[in-house]
Order: sequence, then structure tokens, then C-alpha cells
Amino acid sequence: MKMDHLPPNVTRRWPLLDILLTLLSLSVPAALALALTYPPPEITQGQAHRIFYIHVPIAWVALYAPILSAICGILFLLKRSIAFDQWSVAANRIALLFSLGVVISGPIWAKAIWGVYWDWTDERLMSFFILLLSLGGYFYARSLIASPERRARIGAILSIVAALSAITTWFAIRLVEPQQHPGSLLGAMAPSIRLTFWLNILAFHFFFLALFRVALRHEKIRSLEKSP
Amino acid sequence: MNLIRLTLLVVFATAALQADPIERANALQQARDFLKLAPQAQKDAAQKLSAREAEALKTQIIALRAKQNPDLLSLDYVITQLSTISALEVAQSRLNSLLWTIVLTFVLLVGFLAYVLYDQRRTLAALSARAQTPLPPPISTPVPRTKARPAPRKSKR
Repeated sequence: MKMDHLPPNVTRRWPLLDILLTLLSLSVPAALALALTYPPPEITQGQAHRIFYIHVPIAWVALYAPILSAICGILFLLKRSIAFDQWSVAANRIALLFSLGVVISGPIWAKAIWGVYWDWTDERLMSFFILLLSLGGYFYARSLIASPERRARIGAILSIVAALSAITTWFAIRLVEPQQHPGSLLGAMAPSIRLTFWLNILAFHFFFLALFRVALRHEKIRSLEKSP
Repeated sequence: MNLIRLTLLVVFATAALQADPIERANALQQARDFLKLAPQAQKDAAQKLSAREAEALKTQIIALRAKQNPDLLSLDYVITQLSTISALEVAQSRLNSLLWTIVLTFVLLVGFLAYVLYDQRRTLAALSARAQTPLPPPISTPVPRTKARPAPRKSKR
């Protein structure tokens, strides 16, 4: 497909970066294979505890990405450069994707261990649900605004709201007295569990970077289509 | 029932004959020590055991207590069977949860990638088509009619 007519910020290629990110993304299946085989089954949760190696890393990314998006949103408000808006949208798109991953993997684990899919009284679960709603609202509001400049401005403000929601969730997990959702276990893991956990965290962050690059390029191309 | 009891006795007896006497004595002592622990300490200690160690400890405990209660072997067999049925069902349900999580996360991430690649390709094709289409001729806007200015009068001198 000829791309001579596209601006250089879309057609510019970074082959080394792309190869590196693709290779690093392959660490996700490797880390998952490790999670399925290396740590012994946990005595109270059995094999279901291995969901933790998927659920927690994607939850971390789902909480970081809105903060990255908000930083780009603030930069847009200061500089008025549409590139920052594109970065902000790409980060929130990955945040929404990973948040959906969290609300899929979390209830499956909860059903296996608690016997119910969701607890509407748990502050941690509810704060994450509000984050998901904030991200959904961000994209819905953007879809309603025709003017690119106004869409980017409102988007920047909503990305800050989503980031505040992500920060609230982060602290809710650490500070609020646990009801159902377990608290942070970072200091209380067996060596095999700790090693597997950190390798999965690292792998999913590499995957986030690769997905972010794909989403950013997609957003740049979409903005070209919308422009007259 | 007698047949089961006899089989278990043969198994335990064979295992006992094959075991090293010193190791067997140590294992029995460990079982005695374990039984002296408080219930919570027993739970904590049991969590640290491997499957093989747990099985060895169980055998030694039964060997110790079977002297006082001859029905213990058959009772242990029944309890083990019942708890195994329940444990297998729970383990299978947990394994299913793990598999569902992996499958759905995979579908979600691959679905996103597929959507992005498809939409990107479609958008690029649309942009390419737009670039190749010749621009339509400019729309001629009708010039508003204005009254012709009267020629300047020549001054009569």
C-alpha cells in the first residue's frame, strides 16, 4: 500500500524499536508458562492462585496507563499540540483494554474462591469499577464532539478524572481494610511466587509498550481520516 | 472391608520392612513431635511439607495411632476417599477458572490487536483512495451583478 501521501509522523518507521518490542512481548507467553508450572499450588486456592499472575500485572497496567494519559492531557492543555492528545488517547485505549481484562479475570477468580463473581460492598472493587466507567465515559464523550480541538480539550480534562480514579483505586487496595479483595501481598510472597510475579509484571509492561506503540500509530492514522 | 484392611496392612508392612530402621525411628519421632504441637502449629507445619513428606507423616501418624485404635486403617481409607472426591471436584473447578481466565484474556488482547490492524488497514486504504481521486473542479460562484458605473462626466468648459 502506497503511503507517500501520508505525513512523516505516520510513515516514520523505527524498525529496531519494533523488533525489540515484538521480542519483548514474547516474554508474556514465556512468563505465563512459568506461572503455570514453576510455583507450587497455593494450599488454600490450589490452581486458581495462578490467575493472580495474569490479574495483578494487567491491573497494574490498567492503573498506570490513565496516569500516562493524564500527563499527556495536561501537556496538551499547556502546549496545544494535537500529538499529546493522540498519546493521551492511545494510553487510555490500552487502559480500557486492560481494565476489561481485570474485570474478566477478577470475577472468575472470585467465583472460584469466594463463591460469588462480584461484591458490590467492597471499596476496592467499586473504585476499580468507577475507573472503568471513567474510561468508558472518556471515549463516549469524545465520540460526541465533532471539533478536534474541543474534543482534545474535553478529553484532556476527562483523562485527568480517570487518572484520579486510578490513583484512588491504587490507594484503596493498599490503605482500605480488606473486606473481600485481598490486600497487597508484595512483602509476603514465597520466593518462587515472588520471582514468577515480578517476571509477569515485567512481561506485561513490555507488552503494554508494544500495544501502546500500535495504538498510537492507529490513532495518528484515524486523526488523518477525520481531518478534511 | 476385611480385604481392604488386609491390603492396607500388607502395603504398610511392606513399606515398613523396606524402610531404613534409623530413618523409620526418626520418622516416628517426627510424627510424635507433630502430634504434640498445638492445632494451629500443626496447620502451619503441614503447609510447609511437600506431598511426599506429607504422605510419609500421615503414614507414621496412622502407624502410631493404629495401636490404640484398630479400626483406624479402614476409617482412614474411607475419609481419604471422601475427601479426595471433594478435593478433585474443587481442583477441577479451579483449573477451569484458570483456563477461562487465560482464554478470555487471550481473546481480548488478540481481538484488540486484530481490530486495530483491520481498522488501520481500512483507514489507510480510504486515505490512499482519497489521495488518488482528482480534486473536483472548483465551484464557480456567481458574481453578483452590480450596476455599471456611469462614465465620469467630462467637464464642459
